[in-house]
Amino acid sequence: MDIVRRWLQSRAEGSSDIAKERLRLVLVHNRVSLNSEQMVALRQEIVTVLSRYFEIDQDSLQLDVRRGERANQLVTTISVKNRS
Amino acid sequence: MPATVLTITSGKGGVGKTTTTANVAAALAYLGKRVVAIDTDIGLRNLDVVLGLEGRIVHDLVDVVDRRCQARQALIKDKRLSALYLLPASQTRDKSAVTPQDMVRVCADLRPDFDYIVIDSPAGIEQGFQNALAPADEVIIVTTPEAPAVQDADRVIGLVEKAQKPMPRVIINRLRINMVRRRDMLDAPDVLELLGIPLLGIIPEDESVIVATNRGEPAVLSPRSAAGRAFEDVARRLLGENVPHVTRTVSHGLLSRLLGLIRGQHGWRA
Repeated sequence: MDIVRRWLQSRAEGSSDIAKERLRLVLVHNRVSLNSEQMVALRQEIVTVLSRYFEIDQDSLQLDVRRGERANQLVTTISVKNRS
Repeated sequence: MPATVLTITSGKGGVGKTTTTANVAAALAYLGKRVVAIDTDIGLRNLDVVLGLEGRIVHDLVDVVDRRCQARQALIKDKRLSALYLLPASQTRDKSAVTPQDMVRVCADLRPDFDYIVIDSPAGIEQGFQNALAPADEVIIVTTPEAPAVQDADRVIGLVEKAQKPMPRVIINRLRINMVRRRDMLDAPDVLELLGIPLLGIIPEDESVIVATNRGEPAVLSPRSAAGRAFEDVARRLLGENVPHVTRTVSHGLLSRLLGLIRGQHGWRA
C-alpha cells in the first residue's frame, strides 16, 4: 500500500511545486550570503535558543529572506507545540 | 520633458530581453511616444535584426562613445514607426569599449529629443550589464518561469538595489499555460512570491514571436499575436494605464484562425 500511496503522491505533486521549494531555499542562501556551514550553525542556534522557551518542532524551522523597499527581512517560521 | 530611461535586463541569457526591448519600444512608439532603443550588447548585437533594421547600420554606439559622430547621426529610423529609432551596438569591439559613464553621457545627449530611451542589456552581470544599468531611471527584469532564470533574476535584483536604482519590476516571459495547469511550470504568483518585486507583465510562449523575428517585424505590430498584445499591455502600463493582468492564451487551429479573419484581425497595424 505504501508503494501505491507514494505513486499517487508523486502524481499529485507537480514538478512546479518541487521547483518552487528548491528555488525558495536557493534564494535564501543567495540572499543571506552565508555558506552552508554557517547556515547549519545558524539554524541550530535558533533552535537551541527557542527551545529554552518553547517546545518546538525542530524540523519545521523555515528561514525566508523577503525583499522590502529599503531593507530585506529575515523571517523565521517555526511550529510551536500546543501546551495541553 | 526629457526622456525616461528604461533598462531591460535579466542576468540569464535567452529569456527575451532583446525581444522585450524591441516590442516595448515599438509599442511605445505606436502609442505616440518618441522612442530610441539602444543595443548595449557590444560584440553580440541582435536588436537590429529583431527590429528588421540590419543592413542599415552606418554608425554604432562605440562610434558615438569615441566621438567619431554625434548620437543623433548614429540613429536608424524605423521603417514602419516614424517615432522609433535604434542606436545599434558595435559588432567588432568588446564590452570594455564602453563605460558606464559613457552610457550616462550618451543618454544625456539623447534625452531632450525623446520620451523614452529603452536599453537592451546584455546577459550576465559584468561590464555590459553595468553599462546598461548606469543611466537607468527604471529597470525591468525579464525572467522565464524556470529555476535558473529566476535564480539569476534574483541576483540581478540585488545588484540593481545595490546601485540604488528604484525597485525594478518583472516581466514573466514565455509562460505556458498548459504546463502551469499540469503543475509542471511555475505560475506568475509563484515567481512573484519568490522574487518579491512588482509585476509589469506576463507574456505567453508564442510561436508568432519567432515568425515576427524571422520577418524583422516586432510582434506588437501583428494584431493576432498574443505575445504582441501582452507587450502592448506592458507599454500601456508604463504609460500609467491600469491594464489588468490576464494570462493570454495563444490560439491555434483552423477555427480560431477563421474567427480571427471574421473579426478582421489580419495584416498590419501601422
